[in-house]
Amino acid sequence: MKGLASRPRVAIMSDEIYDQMVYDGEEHVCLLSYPEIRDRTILLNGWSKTYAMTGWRLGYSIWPGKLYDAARKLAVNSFSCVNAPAQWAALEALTGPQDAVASMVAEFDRRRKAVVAGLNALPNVTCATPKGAFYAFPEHFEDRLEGEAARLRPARGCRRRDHRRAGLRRAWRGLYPAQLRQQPREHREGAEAHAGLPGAPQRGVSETVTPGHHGRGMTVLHPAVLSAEDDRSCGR
Amino acid sequence: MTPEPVAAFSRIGEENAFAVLARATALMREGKDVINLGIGQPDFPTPPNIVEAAVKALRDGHHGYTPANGILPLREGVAADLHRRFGVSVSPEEVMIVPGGKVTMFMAILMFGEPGAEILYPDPGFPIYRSMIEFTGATPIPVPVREENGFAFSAEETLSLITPRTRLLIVNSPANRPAASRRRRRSTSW
Repeated sequence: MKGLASRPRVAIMSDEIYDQMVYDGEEHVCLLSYPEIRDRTILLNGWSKTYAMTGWRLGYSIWPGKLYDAARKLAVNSFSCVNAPAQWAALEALTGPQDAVASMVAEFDRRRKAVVAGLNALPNVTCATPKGAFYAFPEHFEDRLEGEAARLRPARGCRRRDHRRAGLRRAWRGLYPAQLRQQPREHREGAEAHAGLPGAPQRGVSETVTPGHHGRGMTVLHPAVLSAEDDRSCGR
Repeated sequence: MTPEPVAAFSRIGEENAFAVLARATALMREGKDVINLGIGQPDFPTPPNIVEAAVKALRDGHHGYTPANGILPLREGVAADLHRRFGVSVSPEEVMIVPGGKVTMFMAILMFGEPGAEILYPDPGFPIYRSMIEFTGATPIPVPVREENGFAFSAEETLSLITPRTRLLIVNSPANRPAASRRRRRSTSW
């Protein structure tokens, strides 16, 4: 903080949208807690992730000093205001019971453990246990997918290895621990076989069909394979 | 012939996860079982008390514009929530209600991004940071997020990237993608 405090010309935007999704007893620290940088810190937060409200389009920001008026003018020049009933719903979210938040975070925690354990059970794949949010970051997972599915467009054109890895974002909110426990073998085979569906996938989208889920193929969509010529998409 | 938009639009990016979402939605319409590992959103419904509050607001006639910065009770609610959870003191006059999370980064990057300016952003990280920085003509400066640091960024490395041209530093914790969390003991060493 001292280092930042001595650079007053640099504004700071702290994106804390996942602030309630921390695990293993971790404690989130809000950057507004540091008085030495309070006059230049912009806080980004909102309701989407915490209250499962992504489709409502509800967020908030804290703007220091004259930045507030600049932000207000941008609002006046673009969206005018946020949907009125949604704002009243947002107030209920903050002031009403918080049990739903706790139970959703507990479920994300359970899935986090299941997904990380499942990924680490794959040969050569390693995945560190994330301490927050709902994304996993496996190592060498995309190599398996790329190596075994010739029709996919490999992301090798990306300049940096960490960008290639980052192309494989894994969100586990859609994965059910029971399925992982009951069908690890099928999941593994599905990922290895990586059979595509008929029809060309959209650029940057690849598909995995795993057998055996309700007797039908189960499709797993992920942004694993990114277009090599579009460097902007690397690691996104 | 359709006119070309200005050059900035050749630099703006997007979020791959929305392409995945569109494909998943199309496949689900075909009756396929889909596990969408793409876009970051909870698969839970919004809690019913919140839905009811919106329905009640509609029935109560909240159909018109609100102040551009949001209704006062909500700005007070946000200030109280931040105080309750983190002990920070925030005035409702500092709170702006915006449509979603991205709008804040859009505004902040517009405020500080221009040709010649440098903006530091976490890499790998949420794609829109870099997209918007490039849109403004500013130079995106990636701050590496490293696995060996537990997917946190290093304070020393971040400070070493700050130059006289740096206008904005973007930080994100807990994060989209590496999802490290900022521990109190770590961040106080800054």
